[in-house]
Amino acid sequence: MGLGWDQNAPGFRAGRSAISDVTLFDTSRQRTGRAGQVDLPDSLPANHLTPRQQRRLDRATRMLIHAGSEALTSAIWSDRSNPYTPLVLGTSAGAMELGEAYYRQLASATSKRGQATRIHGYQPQNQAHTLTGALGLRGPATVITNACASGANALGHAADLVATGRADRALAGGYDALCLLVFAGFDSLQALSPTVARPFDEHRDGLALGEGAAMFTIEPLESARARGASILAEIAGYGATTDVHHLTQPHPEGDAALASMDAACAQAGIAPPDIDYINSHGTGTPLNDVAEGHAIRRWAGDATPTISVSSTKGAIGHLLGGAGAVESAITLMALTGNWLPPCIAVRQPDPVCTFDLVTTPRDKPIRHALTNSFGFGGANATLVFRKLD
Amino acid sequence: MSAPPYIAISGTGAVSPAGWTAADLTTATDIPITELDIPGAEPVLVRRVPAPPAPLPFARHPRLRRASPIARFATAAAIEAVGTGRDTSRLGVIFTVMNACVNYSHRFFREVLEDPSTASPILFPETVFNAPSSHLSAYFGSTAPNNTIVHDASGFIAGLDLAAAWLADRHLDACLVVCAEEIDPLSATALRYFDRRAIPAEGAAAVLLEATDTPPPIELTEITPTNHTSHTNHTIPLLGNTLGALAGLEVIHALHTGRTTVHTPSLPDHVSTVTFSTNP
Repeated sequence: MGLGWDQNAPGFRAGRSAISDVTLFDTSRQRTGRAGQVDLPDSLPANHLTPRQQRRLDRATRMLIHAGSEALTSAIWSDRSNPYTPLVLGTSAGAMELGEAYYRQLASATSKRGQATRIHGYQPQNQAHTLTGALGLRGPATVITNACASGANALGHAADLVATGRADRALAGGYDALCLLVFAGFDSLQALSPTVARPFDEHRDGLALGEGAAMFTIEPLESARARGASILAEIAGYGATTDVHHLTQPHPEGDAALASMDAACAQAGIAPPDIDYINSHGTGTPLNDVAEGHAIRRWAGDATPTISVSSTKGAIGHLLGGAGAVESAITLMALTGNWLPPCIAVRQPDPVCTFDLVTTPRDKPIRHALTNSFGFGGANATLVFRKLD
Repeated sequence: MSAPPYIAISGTGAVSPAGWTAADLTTATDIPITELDIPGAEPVLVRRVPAPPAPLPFARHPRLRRASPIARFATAAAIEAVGTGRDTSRLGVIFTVMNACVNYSHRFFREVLEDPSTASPILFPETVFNAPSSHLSAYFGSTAPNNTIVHDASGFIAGLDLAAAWLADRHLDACLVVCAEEIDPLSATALRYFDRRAIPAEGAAAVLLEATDTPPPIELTEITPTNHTSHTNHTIPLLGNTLGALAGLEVIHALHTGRTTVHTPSLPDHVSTVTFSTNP
């Protein structure tokens, strides 16, 4: 949808689609050639990397630097020499672009030029190290790779670090870049929509992939207020569970999703009717949306018809490891702006949608918002955000 | 607020070129080196996990029938650590890796480059970083949180640190920490760029941590970052370089040979030293 809060928020509020033709690799042998590809500029924000280091950056790390720079700038963290600023990242593919390039050269050429650099850059923990270096930070980095829940898990873990006093502050987020291996992977599963991704539509036929990154500065409320920071919200609750039904398919009744939502709300000290908006996982696959729909119904009970729900994956695609983080950012945009991003492209809602499915842009006061992220391997994560008075 | 619990080390397991148990790791003396063929390049000397001495108990499990070696190594080590007769329905899992499911990724991408329209859907799900840890949770029937963390060779210590935090915060009563790696021509060739003398190896290590309110026989007492540049590694001379499984196998070796401190190299500011203590 764009770079930065100011480009993204209007697009989601208006219900625009950012799905376009993939130009990064050949998709002529796939069921679809469209995805949420980022129009990534060649230039980077000011950073601490050398020109040589910047030239070697992969696409995913470049997006991370854009997002991380924006987060630090908006948080006005002036003391970047704090020796303990943990970084927590979520990703599913890391710098797979470099892994693919390494394999291609290994398979076809005798030259070893650039291979050591690709090997080093490919590893997610080195991507994290590059990000902290670029931002002028120091501290340990944790890279969580729980598939499509990674970004949400990263935020939840960072919030735990700060809430328990193990860190004075933390930088957290999620990212993934489009790459051939993953695109072909989802295509091999026939999970990609050959038409248009329509989460929660009765005739949905799959998901669209996307790419992106979102980063967040997390600190105790007292320290943010003391600095006069512009606070977006409180991370009020985090729930994480494991769905053991199948490696790639959710439990049909959404058992693990229900538990994840319950856990997050319990930590936030709220009940389902207190949630003003859910940014759902809503991929557009036949199985996910119905399982999540059942989970929301079981979780909200009689309050289900009042729960406003949308998926923004129809607009930007499924960002995999970045989804939980980027969708948290979208949720915060909605919460701070008091509007609901629509679930675009819905023609006929699925009967499982016994909740208030938002299909057109709408204003609504929001105090509590919830976002779900469910991934391969059964990783389920839910975050609850609370607007502060 | 109640006092923080003690962190007990209640079980250990290991799979390595020495064999399929932690005891094998500590009693092996001379492990054979074999050649790994690399198409178009000279072979790489490696130490591989040997064939299991008996059929693996989980070989017919629906989630593990087609699992990659890394998942089988991890499951065997985890089963040894967890033991029998324990309720595992709320067992947390933290799985640390460096290369992870490289066998399946290699096979799948080769098919993608040949013709992406015919790449096998059976392979792709097993390429994701958290596939092995997912199989563990499924095997043990646990819906508790499960995190896969990509890290360097000290990753297992970071996993212990996270598990200890989960237990100290009383999110769980027990947590399995596992690390694993598998040999593949891609990663064996990659290692050679950084150390031509290194012998790639594979395997898994697992430790079961529990929260207790009384001092346990073996207690995890401290995990710290360190900037030491020197350390003694006991498993590399024996096994070879097990990459992401390095710290875990070193911890298992230490626990079974009476050492109380393990330190591995790591990126700056990362935890890399773990200390245990024994209580009467």
